[in-house]
Amino acid sequence: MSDVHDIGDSLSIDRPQIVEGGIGARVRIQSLFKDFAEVRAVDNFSLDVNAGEFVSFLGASGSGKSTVLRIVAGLEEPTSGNVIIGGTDATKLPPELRDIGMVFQDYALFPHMTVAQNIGFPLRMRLLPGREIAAKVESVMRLVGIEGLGTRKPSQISGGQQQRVALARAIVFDPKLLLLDEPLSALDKNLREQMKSEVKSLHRRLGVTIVYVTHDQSEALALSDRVVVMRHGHIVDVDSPERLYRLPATRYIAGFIGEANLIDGRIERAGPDTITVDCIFGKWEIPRSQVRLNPDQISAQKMVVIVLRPEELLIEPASQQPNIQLLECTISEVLYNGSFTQFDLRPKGLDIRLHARGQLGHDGRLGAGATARVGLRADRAVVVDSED
Amino acid sequence: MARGRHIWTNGFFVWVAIFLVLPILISASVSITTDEFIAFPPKGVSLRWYGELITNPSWRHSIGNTLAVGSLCAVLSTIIGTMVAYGVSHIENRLLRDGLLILFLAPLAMPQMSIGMAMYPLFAKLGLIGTRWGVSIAQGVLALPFVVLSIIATIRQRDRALERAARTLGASPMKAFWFVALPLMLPGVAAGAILAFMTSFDDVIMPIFLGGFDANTLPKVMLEALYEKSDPSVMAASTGFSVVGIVMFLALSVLVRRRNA
Amino acid sequence: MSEFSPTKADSKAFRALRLEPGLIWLMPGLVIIALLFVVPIVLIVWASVTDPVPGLGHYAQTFGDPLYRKVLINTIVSAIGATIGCLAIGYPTAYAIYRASGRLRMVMLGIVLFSYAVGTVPRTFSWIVVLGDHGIINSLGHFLSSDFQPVPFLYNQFGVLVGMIHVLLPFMTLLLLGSMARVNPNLEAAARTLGASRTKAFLTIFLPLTRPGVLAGAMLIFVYSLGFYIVPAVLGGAANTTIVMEIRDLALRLGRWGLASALSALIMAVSIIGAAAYVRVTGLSNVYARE
Repeated sequence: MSDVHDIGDSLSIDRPQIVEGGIGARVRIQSLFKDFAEVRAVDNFSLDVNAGEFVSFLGASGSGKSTVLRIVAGLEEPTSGNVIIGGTDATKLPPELRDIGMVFQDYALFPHMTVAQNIGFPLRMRLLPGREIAAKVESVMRLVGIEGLGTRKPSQISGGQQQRVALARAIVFDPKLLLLDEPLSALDKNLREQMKSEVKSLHRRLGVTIVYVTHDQSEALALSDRVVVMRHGHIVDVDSPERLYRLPATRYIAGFIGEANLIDGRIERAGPDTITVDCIFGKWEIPRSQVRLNPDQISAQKMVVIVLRPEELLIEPASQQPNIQLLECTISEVLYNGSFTQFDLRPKGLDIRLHARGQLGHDGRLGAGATARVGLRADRAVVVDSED
Repeated sequence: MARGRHIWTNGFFVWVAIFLVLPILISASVSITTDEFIAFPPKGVSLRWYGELITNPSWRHSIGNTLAVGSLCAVLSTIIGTMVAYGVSHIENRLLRDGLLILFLAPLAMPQMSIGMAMYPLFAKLGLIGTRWGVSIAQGVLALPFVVLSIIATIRQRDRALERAARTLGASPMKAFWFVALPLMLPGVAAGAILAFMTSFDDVIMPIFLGGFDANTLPKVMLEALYEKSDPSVMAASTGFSVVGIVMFLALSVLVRRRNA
Repeated sequence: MSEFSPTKADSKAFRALRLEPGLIWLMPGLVIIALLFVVPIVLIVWASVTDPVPGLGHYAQTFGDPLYRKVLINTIVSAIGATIGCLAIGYPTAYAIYRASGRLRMVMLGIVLFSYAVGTVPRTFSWIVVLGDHGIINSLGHFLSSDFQPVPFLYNQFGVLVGMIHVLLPFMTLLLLGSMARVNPNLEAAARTLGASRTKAFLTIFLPLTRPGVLAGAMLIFVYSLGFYIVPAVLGGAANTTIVMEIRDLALRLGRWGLASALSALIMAVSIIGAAAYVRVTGLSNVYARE
């Protein structure tokens, strides 16, 4: 096996420094619970968000992510728990006193006001003089790219423009905390990709703390400093996007974020640096840094799951590398996806299906039914508990 | 959001609730008085005035009339209303459909007195003045919009698709109506029938304008009793009337809930 | 489009009906509406200008004769008063229901609809017991002070107003509730996050957005209350005769059909205008079921 720290090293990405005491507020959410009649929507949610950080709540619908956001905004009262924004206990504060900006999924633009009036609304609420309001509105419209739309009504502009107005309205008063509730879900794909970049650059320019709720993992991975994965009202894991993807902590996360090959196995030996896992492909030795079990769970006979991302299976690898296990596979399906091709594979003689991703062109030989040599990068394997 | 603010509006609502409900309860309490006058507080408790309703021929007659006229009105307007609702829902042309709907809902926009007055000459010529049929038909016209609205609100795109499916399976238009469309419309039809009965029940103007002894419904007799006799039997009738109205309304709400389920 | 396949021979009529399959079902209804509604109304308008002599004399009399002018004014004043009263009381009531949830909301709606279900006549009569000389209020006064003189709440404009508001309130509340329900709840939430207090959010966002619905509802109630008969007849005095009471008197008692027709035509015209305005504002879309 190669260098034990292989994956760990490649996960450090150059990040701008988070400025302490900058514009963004520090948010501390402590032991939040929220019950609706019989249902527990939020189950012991605790999180520390650093000043200026971009944190995403990622989960399926019903995971409680929007509820937590609404509690932070002050639109819902928690059953128990605290929310501390910028050092002040905001748990009992009404929304208008929390100095937060919020963008709703349906934008919630006031239909009876013009774009400029919409954006100027929070400044009006803060009793700023008219001239100052006009100036700030003008500058923020330029920032998000909607100059000239000031006199239109929300019904007269496109969905993408409405989204920008919602954004402009939420930042014009320089809030310390920005809450975004699935702001891109109503946009079509191209617009969404474009807005993703703009949201990220906006974050860097403003330095404000952002809490972003989404069910779309590509958004969460692309935009966040950290991702909070939620399920059934509680936190499954909190980690950087890279670690969540390359070193998923549980079977659920491995399957939820990105595609994964999940291979059943059993621990045969637990050594000081590596553990040996017995699986359908034989005995694999995996460094402990890639084993995501509780240390007290790591023992012989423990049932585990090996996670191998599709891009870690190489179709017809060029050269022979020491850590790659070669298999003869039958290709059951080839799905061309533009920038990559997905191969559904069936290793010969074994009862398991694998997915591989490659950049190979659609050349005739590698079609359905053909045989291919596939290399499994066992050195990239991650081990998680077989239970969720 | 916190509950605190709602105290003001909820408190206001309590006063409104009292305003709406109390008078009815008070008049109900007067109806059980032993005294011969309508006065509060009632002297004693007696069902004497309810007995009046049954023994007095004028009251008794009117109760029977009311039921007869109401049922007749309900039947007439429900049959016509069902056909109208069904027909309108099958019109493809948007403009024509909306226009027709407005036409059939028009009686809602007119004061009832005008409608009654308008029908008088025609009914006089047909000899319908003073008859149960006359009053029922007139009330049927008033009730028609309610029936139509009630049924149209039940018809969904899905029902039309089911009808089309039945047609491809070999059903004639009539059969498709009878076996597919009508059963699906039934909750709306039933609700419409109840609404029609309630409309007829509450109506005083048609019996006044077009009616006679045979069509003396309860509201009309109550009105006359107020001017002539002014004894608590009026309040007993009033209370009984309310009870029937409430019962019908409860029946209606059960139907509506089942329709929306 | 149409799967109408007649079993009879293909006559022209059936070919026309093929264009609109629904029309055949509408025949009976159309006949009835035409015969019993449209034609009679046309006849009324006709009678108003021809009975007993051709001319607009009746209309002249309506506006010229002080007696009839008073009736018109009575009617309009009562209607305006009832509409304003209903709005003032109905809006907060509807808002309370709008803000309530679950059980509480059902109870509130139940109370409002209960009042509606009781019927116009019992409700009107019940005010006699409350406001009359021997009613609960005056009895209370008598109870508190022995030489209490009963206050005449009835047989005047006040009694009429109270009765009308009592009868119209459930209707108005439901109309207003409907228009409130159409407001996007996220808008108020957004306003709160942008710094508006509860009151400010209500005043700047919610209230203006319900305005079209309020206006339309007020229009409808106004038009409807012009045609009131029972309430002014029972709770009002001789000086509170409304247009509908006058029509009845003229037509049935005095036999002055022409004049009665003219008054009828007037009130019909106003009603149509009001209803048309209402439909224009709210549209017919909310009549059909959700798909």
